[in-house]
Amino acid sequence: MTTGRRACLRVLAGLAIALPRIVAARPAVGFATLVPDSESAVVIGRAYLAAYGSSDLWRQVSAVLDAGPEQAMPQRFHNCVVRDFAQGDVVTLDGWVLSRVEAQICALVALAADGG
Amino acid sequence: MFVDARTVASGAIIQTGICIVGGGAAGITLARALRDSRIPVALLESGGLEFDSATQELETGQMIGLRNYPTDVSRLRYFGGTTNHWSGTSRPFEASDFEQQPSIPLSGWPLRRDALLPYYRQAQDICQLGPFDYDAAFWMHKAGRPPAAFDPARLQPTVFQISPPTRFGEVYREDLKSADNVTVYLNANAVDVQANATASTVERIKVATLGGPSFTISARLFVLAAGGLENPRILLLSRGVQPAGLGNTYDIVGRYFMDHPYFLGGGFVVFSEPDPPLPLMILGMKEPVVPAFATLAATARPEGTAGFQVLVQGIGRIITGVDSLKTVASSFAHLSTPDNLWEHIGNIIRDRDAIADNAYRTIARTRSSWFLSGDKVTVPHAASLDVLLEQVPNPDSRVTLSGMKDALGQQRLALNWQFTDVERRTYRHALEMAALEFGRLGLGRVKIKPLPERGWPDDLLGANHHIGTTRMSDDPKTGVVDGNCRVHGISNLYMAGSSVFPTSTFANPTLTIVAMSLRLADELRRQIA
Ligand SMILES: Cc1cc2nc3c(=O)[nH]c(=O)nc-3n(C[C@H](O)[C@H](O)[C@H](O)COP(=O)(O)OP(=O)(O)OC[C@H]3O[C@@H](n4cnc5c(N)ncnc54)[C@H](O)[C@@H]3O)c2cc1C
Repeated sequence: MTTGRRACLRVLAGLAIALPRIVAARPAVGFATLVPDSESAVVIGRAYLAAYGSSDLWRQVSAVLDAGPEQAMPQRFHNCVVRDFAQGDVVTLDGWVLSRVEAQICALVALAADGG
Repeated sequence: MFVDARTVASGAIIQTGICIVGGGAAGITLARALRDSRIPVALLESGGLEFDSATQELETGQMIGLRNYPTDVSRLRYFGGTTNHWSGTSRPFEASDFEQQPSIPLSGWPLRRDALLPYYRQAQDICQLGPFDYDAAFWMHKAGRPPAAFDPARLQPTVFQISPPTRFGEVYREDLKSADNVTVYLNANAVDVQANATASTVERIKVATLGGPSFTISARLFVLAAGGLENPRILLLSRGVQPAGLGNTYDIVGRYFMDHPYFLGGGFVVFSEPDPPLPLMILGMKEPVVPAFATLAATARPEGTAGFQVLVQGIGRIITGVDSLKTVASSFAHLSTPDNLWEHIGNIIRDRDAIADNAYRTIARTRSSWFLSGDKVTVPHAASLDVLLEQVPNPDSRVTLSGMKDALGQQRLALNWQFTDVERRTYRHALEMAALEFGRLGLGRVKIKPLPERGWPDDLLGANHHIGTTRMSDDPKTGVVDGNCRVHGISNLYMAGSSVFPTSTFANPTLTIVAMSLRLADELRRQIA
């Protein structure tokens, strides 16, 4: 991932909000209607950071998203989420069972929102 | 023929061929299956044809183990037994349930499912169920639903058929009344099973009535079919020859009590879409079947876990406006963007006390009043996940005799219901499987309600299935009865009902109780012949 960090965060934030639609296999997402710094993603992200910290987070997320075939980012992201659930690579935040990558992206969103 | 035992002469000795104690699902099935055999059958039923509180009071016992499990509420003591208020949920056990399973101690039945199959087919009719088909694909196809995409090693859509429910005492009363060889003694309590000096043969059963005469029944064969709590109690009370109770040489009688622990709202799911494409979701409305998710493949279970059911409850249901729920409702109301799952989850995490915990706690308490009028609110795209567990055999979970006595002067039972770590692991595993599969398939996200660090939740329920207390095993050291339901060491005493099940499985017991009773009827005919 070569984009600048801030720009990337905005993209990822958008993805995080778009996730349910992507997961629900509805590709025609109106990205313009999405709020890039979603409050919800921030809440989830903060819960992740409180539980797991932020060390190495950026590298881990980049590595996960960069791996695999060349595809549009939403599709890549979707694949990662499905794979996480398939492999049981999940985190539990406040009882909610989330794919690791989706929770980590929220954590990045939270870091950005909190000026981290 | 029906006889009121209170009209029998005190001290009378009645001779018969087969004496059955208890007129519930097991006893009625047995007597009915023997009605064309010409073998004289006496069925002793503690109650009359209607509920009577003095008789029901005989069921009162002491709870010394886990939780409130009132022994006089979880069963009924009159003709028809507990089928007078069973719900009718039915499913045969899996073939793997009869086999030894590494994570379940003392598992493995002395019979295979194949041996029970013809009896299951008959039991299906007796319980007034639909076609003997429990394949989820069959029902999904019938309902026009797409095949399930769930990973069968994790979670399988599973159907249970629903009996009307059959009230055995009403539906089969006429059959027994008109049978020449069957006499049903009502208001007749078996109080003592009396064996010969070496306890190798039962000679008679002493019968008492409330405030009336006592008499004895002498027979060639005897069957206790008094339910999973009363069967061991009767043996423990029959101490004339064996001081620890009849058939209790190895201290097994009453041990290994199992039910299906039931956790209301063990999980909570927020769906991605208003009408989640769950394969079985609508079947409950249109067909006499209910959906659940379960593990069918025992071989796929991780070490140290047992079977389970996850039931998706209350999608789009209306929840009445209990005060705390108003907060929940208004919070949910903000979340009405149809498919913004993340916002749902984010908000729920933020407001967890107000929403998630209150939701399922309140749901659990007000389950029966969801449809009351008043302030009504809808929780969009969310559902509660109830979890029912297979309990594993545990010798410390047991029925004993208490110091208190009933109106017949008999020691009441004491129930010590106890779990092991297997149930804890299975609870977690069941909800994790739901979370992984719902997530993988993009259906939604699951929140798991953790168990308390020690002990069990206050709102834990039992399913009123009384299992394992006179368990079946080829080895008398690990079982009270053998593979033919005959008490080890006693030539003519048999047990019927779920007390003989060595394991509890994840399915409801009554269909199997009926199938096993039919099989036992064949065995009794062979013995008499
Ligand atoms: C609320 C509720 C819902 C249920 N729902 C389901 C369900 O959906 N699916 C399912 O599979 N199961 C269900 N069950 C369990 C089901 O009712 C029992 O599995 C079934 O009735 C057991 O049959 P049984 O003949 O062994 O015992 P019972 O039906 O309890 O019959 C025992 C009989 O023995 C008599 N008796 C007891 N002691 C004596 C004595 N000393 N002398 C003479 N007679 C005696 C009693 O009066 C009674 O009539 C439910 C139970 C309850 C309480």
